[in-house]
Amino acid sequence: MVRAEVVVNPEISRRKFEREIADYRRMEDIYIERGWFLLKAAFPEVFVVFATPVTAPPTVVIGAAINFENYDFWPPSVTLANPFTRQPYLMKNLPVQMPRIGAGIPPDLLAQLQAGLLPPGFQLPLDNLLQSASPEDKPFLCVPGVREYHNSPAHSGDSWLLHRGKGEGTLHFIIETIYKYAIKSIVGFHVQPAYKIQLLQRNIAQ
Amino acid sequence: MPDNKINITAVVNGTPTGVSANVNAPLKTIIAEALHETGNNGQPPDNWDVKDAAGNVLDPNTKIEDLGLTEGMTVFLTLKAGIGG
Repeated sequence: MVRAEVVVNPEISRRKFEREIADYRRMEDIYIERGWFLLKAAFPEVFVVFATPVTAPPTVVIGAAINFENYDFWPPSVTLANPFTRQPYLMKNLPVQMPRIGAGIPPDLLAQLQAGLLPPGFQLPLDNLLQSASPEDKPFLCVPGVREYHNSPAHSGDSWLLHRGKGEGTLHFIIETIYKYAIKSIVGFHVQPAYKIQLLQRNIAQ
Repeated sequence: MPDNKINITAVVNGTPTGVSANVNAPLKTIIAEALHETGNNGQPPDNWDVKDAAGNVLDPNTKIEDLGLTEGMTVFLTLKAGIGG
């Protein structure tokens, strides 16, 4: 494994890491009910598995490796991975997407959506919070607070240092973001012809 | 403690803290205190979602007692993810 350049005293990063793990463990019983399973936490990496309780049977959906090297001068790095083998997913192999209702939706349309007044089949423009250069590449979580977002040339004007210490880029924030957009939207299974089963995502968050 | 006051736990970005709440007040009245107690002062209250244990977003303008919140319960304050994708 190629280790990152060390720019922060590892003891500082480790203490911040351990503080976040301790906070997580205090509320862990509630998180388990949501389907969050923090399986490994050895500095600098955490491995979390996400499951959904809404399907029958409940389903293990995806894993995420979150790396805290040089934290928090650097934001954490997030890699979506197979929850069993921990192998990183390529974009083309992802079992779920992270759709988000686009920021430019008119308020009255949003109100109709929330009231259930839109006709069946009405398509809202959606953003995908998972981005990659091609289907053959690993996707990255494209939100502020994630290392890959800030390292992307497309976001060179949005430095992590503008967000650091304001709530983004913490363990909880990253897990909650993955949960909100990838897991909570799951409502069941979608069985396609030839018995290809996909997770059905409908509850798209704003 | 007065009848209209309850103590609840607010977990702000993963960090728990106790807050005192007036059940007749809207939920948003606890946000500022919870943010201050946990040192989360970099984002305004409007940038935070308040959720129940299941992760469902609660309406901050609804009265605390109308949301079914009672003594000892826990709510979660989570920062809304920035524009991305």
